[in-house]
Amino acid sequence: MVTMEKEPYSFEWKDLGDISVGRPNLGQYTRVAVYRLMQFTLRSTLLKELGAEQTQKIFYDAGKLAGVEFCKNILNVKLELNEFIADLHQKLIDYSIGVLNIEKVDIENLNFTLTVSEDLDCSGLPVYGETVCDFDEGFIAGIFHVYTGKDFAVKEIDCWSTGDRTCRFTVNVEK
Amino acid sequence: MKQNEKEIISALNEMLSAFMSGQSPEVLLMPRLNEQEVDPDILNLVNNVNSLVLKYNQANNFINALSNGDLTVEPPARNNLVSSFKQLHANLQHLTWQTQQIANGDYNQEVSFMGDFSVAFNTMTQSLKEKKKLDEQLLLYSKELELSNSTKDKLFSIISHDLKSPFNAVLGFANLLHNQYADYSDETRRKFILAIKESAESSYALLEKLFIWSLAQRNAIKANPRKIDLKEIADSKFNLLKSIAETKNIALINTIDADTFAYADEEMINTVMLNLINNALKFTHRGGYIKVVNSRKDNFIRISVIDNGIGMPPESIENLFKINRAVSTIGTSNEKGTGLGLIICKEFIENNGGEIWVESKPDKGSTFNFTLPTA
Repeated sequence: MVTMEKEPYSFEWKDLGDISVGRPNLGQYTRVAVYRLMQFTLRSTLLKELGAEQTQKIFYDAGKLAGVEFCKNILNVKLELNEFIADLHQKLIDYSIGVLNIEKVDIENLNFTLTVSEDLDCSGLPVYGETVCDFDEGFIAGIFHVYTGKDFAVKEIDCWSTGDRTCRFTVNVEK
Repeated sequence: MKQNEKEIISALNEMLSAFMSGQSPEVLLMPRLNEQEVDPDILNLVNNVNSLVLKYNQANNFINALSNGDLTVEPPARNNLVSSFKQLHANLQHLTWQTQQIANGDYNQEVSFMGDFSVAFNTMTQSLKEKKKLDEQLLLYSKELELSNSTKDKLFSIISHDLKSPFNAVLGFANLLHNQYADYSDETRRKFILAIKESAESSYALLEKLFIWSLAQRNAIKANPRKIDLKEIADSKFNLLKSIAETKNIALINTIDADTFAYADEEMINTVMLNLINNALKFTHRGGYIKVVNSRKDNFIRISVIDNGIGMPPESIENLFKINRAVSTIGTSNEKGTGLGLIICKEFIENNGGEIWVESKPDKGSTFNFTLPTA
């Protein structure tokens, strides 16, 4: 990994390294709690340092970067939109990120409503009364940006932490 | 408790009773209250009950629509009274989308929703997928069968017509010579013998081409590619056909650059070159020309055999390389053919990794092009 002091560091998929070589015994998997431990301690620290708005923006931007790299390296962008969504659905299950469902698709205007059940970030969290999946919002925006070449505004409407059982996102192309 | 507070409690009781009896109560409107005169706890209770009423009414509308099968209903946001129904709604919406994809032929969709239902649904999709595969295979077999059938028809036609005619000539003249030998002069007998010889040669040529073609069909001929000199091959074919060209006063021009090497089977390309030049001779008028040129694109050499002969209309070009459509056309000096030469050329060029095609205009001439990998 490049030193962050010398030049601005921008994440690329290859920075994840060769996990099979690095973890010959422990392998690819860890517990969801470990992922959340990192995510929520980081969120807690950022909230204290930067406040809510900046923290949400940072998570959204980081998620977008992750979505861009995930799409470039894992998804097949040559597929037709419906096939691409089916591929995305399967890959999110393969990577244990969540179960993506399609609620609405408006291909002409590039507007979608997606739901994610068993979400890695939030499913099972205490009810806070507000959405917490800022990273997922950015992640979805990054994926659709790579696939279509357009910018998208992704907004989480329902979340486990608002008392719902499934996260619901609106995905709208920015005009 | 003040009078107005009693009224509020009473109104809230009515709302809750309506709840219990399955009705959708209306919220308690603030203008009916004088907030300053009401205990803050009671005011808080009013707000909470109002919020509950709103959520309940939203939930009621949503669940009613859902139970009527209306999936277009918008799930109420931030309403945890219906969170499980929203999940059901999301699953049903996704199932609808997946079913639409399957209806459009995407049989790779896999449903993961409600155990037994998913198993049955996915089994059905799998059956459709297999059926589609079988249908595609059936269509392919049917096309192959059709081609094989028309190929068989063509073969019968060649055997019954093209092969029968020269044998008729052989038998006819042989009978004349056998039965009435003494009736004819030496010169007439020589003419009969020449006719027998020419008919036998043409039958042999046809049989030889049929043999080569049948070998190619059964993949019994394997290309044995090596570095070959295309200029040299064209020269050797011009030498072979020089006497025919002289008879028709046709100029043979070989402008292939020296050191034009392809990686191909020499015997096959010899046959192709001979066939194409022979064809050009057949369909070029006296005083015409035949030119062989080369060009190069990427890793392929292109050879063009150009003539200024009678050319062809587009409908003839279309069927030129198809066995089931092949026809023999009489040349400018009544030369006969088998209609098989170009089909063999196509087999051989494709066997060597190249392509063959023709450009032609009636009365302007034809250009037969083929490509081969460079050596």
